[in-house]
Amino acid sequence: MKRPDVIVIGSGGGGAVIAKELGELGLNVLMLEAGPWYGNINWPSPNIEKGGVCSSSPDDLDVNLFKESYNKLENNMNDLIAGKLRWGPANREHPPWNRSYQQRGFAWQISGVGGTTQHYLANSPRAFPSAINGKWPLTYRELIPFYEKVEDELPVEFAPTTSKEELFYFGAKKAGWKLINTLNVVSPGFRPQPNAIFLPNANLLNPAYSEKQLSWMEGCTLSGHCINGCPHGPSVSKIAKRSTNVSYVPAALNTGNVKIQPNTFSYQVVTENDPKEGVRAIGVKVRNTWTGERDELSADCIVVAAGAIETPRLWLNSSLPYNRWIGRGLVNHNMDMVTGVFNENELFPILGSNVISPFVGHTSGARLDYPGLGSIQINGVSPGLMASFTYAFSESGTEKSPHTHTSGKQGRVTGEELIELMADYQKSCSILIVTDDEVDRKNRVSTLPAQLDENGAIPSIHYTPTRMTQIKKRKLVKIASDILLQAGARKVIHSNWPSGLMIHIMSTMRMGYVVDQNSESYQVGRLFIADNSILTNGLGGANPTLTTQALAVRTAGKIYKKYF
Amino acid sequence: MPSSNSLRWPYTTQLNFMAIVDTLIPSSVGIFNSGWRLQYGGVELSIWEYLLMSFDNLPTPLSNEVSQLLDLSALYTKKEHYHSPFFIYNPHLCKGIFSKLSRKDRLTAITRLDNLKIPLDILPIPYKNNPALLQITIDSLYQLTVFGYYSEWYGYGYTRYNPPSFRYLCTYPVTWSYTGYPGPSFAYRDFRGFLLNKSNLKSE
Ligand SMILES: Cc1cc2nc3c(=O)[nH]c(=O)nc-3n(C[C@H](O)[C@H](O)[C@H](O)COP(=O)(O)OP(=O)(O)OC[C@H]3O[C@@H](n4cnc5c(N)ncnc54)[C@H](O)[C@@H]3O)c2cc1C
Ligand code: SF4
Repeated sequence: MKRPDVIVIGSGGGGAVIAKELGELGLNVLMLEAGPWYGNINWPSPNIEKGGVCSSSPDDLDVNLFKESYNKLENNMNDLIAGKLRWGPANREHPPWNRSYQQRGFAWQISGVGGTTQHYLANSPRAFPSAINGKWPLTYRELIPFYEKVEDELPVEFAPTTSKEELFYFGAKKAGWKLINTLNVVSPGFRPQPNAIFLPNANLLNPAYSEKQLSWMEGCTLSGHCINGCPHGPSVSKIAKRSTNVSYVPAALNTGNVKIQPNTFSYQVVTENDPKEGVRAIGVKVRNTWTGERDELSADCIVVAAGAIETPRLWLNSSLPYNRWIGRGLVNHNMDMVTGVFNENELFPILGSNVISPFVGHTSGARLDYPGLGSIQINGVSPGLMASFTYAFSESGTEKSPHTHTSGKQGRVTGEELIELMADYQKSCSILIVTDDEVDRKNRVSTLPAQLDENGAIPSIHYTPTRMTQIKKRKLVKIASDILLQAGARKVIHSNWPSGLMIHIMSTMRMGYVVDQNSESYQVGRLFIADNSILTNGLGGANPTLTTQALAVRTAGKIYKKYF
Repeated sequence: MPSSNSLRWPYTTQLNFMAIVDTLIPSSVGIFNSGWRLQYGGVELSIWEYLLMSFDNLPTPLSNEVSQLLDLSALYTKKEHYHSPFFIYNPHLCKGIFSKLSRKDRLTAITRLDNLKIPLDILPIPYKNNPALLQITIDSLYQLTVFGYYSEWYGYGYTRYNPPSFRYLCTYPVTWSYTGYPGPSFAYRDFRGFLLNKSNLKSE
């Protein structure tokens, strides 16, 4: 194989974008991915057989295989231990990869081509300008052209309204909030989610097409499976939800310059001390997850895009130079969930229907942003996920806790009460709390030399929200509860999630501390980072992926300019 | 619903896992205008086996250790009830006692672990002096039980003991009828227009 110009480690939210951009600039790129590849003819049974080694042709993408894998059944797809979309090797008979948590909670991440975007909700807001200006080594204005390019290419569109969004808008308006008609959020208000999801199929309401036919056409069908993995579209590159495995990965292959190698775990970055350049990255050591075979690969530049936990782990396990911010400053938006249960007679006048059917439409199609506090986002998921995240996951325990307000309760629900609440599943919907989480150096990813797996010392995760973060979260919970009550909820349940739940994992290799404003390591030349870890902070509470992708585009240009 | 697969776990571990599932999701009777309906609980729908399989698919299999945790906590719960001045924990004699408690006491025993109201130094490895892992485990007991129950798990029928890539839906996942979830869909026609279009953004 020809020696690549650049090796990219990880093909998720950031990696796939930078691979495509570099390929488009004419560089030869090898992208290494630890997990499986769904929907590629070289891996016809991606979880059962080791399959091929790598793929570099868009003709290898096969939508029938893709649909066979992404079968929309939540236990099969989303089970964190043995699901198709989990953090572990392709072979599901093997356990997931281990992490050590120093508090309750867990990290929800996915291996495989597309990374965690395989089941992300595709919510793609820009950062709040107030979280960037004066706090990052870049200004918001400098980011805008890159945002625009990614929004155009994914593409990002405002979400259509379905029942749960309608109810959210109704409640938000009644609670006194205003619609904000913008992508650059400077004041509080509600709006449809800017989602990386194709516009709905223009024939969605045309009875001449069956639902099955629609699912093979271009455009979102409002099927509600975003979180289970979207399989709807006529070809892999035209799947409705724009996870990177269906957007930037096909585009990368289209450049003719990108080769992708799944089932390949990078466990060490190789460096040398160059007389002119100083310490610089020259290669990667990798291990095949099926065979255990090891290999060493070299390139002119290395881009790490392994996500905000594995990127610092890789740095630490490679014994790269000390920097007091490696792995430090972890933020996770200290998320939470608030759920409303409604009566039929309250729903009917608003929706013209007795039910909300939270499983319909984009998994999240509406949001309220509040610069300085964070954001809240409507959320409707399949019943197993709903029960387990809304009613079974709480820091407040199971005993009846003090009521948050008259019709509210907090904490887990079991037995008859759970059964009753889930019997009202169709008349319920949730709001996700996404807090403007303050950076604290104590929150971190480190490694424990005594705890190893086949890829080296495993990551250990410490996170305690700061006082300010907790105050902001409480305010957002109140805003969300109020919106649900204004919309007529008969009951509001505040889950009170453990703070250690990691869904938006960011800021462990911060720009301005570990990498410079071009995303190159201050200490190791030719080593770039292109994932959530470089975000200097939590973006004020905006979902992180779009910003990571915009930065990946920017970084590609910088790499090309400086080294090629 | 015994199966040859159940032989994989000690009987007392099985009893304890059935008992957890029965505590969190018991079978129940729903009364409607049209009559009544039995709603199967987690035990009838084999969710305890899902739970056992899940705990044994972790990087370190933990089902027996979890079962021990529950027994220890059950002992403490009993001890409190009877104000017994002393007690000796014999892991062999006490196996499965969690499953002998009433539902209410079982929930108390689980909550005791959740609240770390048990000496952490007597817990089995890897839980010994590891409060975070203990609480994560309790969270998982809750989350996996209800995720298993309300997802399609039961529908895998006899294939549910297969490795995950060899399971097929062979019967209707009855819990879908308890929530009104229609199962996987191709499309829904609940399109209610757009509140905003990219084209009508205020110029910025
Ligand atoms: C349920 C859920 C919903 C979400 N919804 C949204 C949303 O709507 N909007 C949003 O902005 N964000 C969302 N997120 C977060 C989003 O998924 C992440 O922001 C995004 O995927 C981060 O991109 P990344 O490149 O940092 O990491 P990832 O996407 O996780 O990619 C990292 C990749 O690197 C691979 N890898 C890791 N280590 C190695 C190694 N050593 N060698 C080789 N490969 C390696 C991994 O397998 C993975 O494929 C959601 C997350 C979850 C869990
Ligand atoms: S609602 Fe989500 S899963 Fe369904 S077609 Fe649209 S993007 Fe895909």
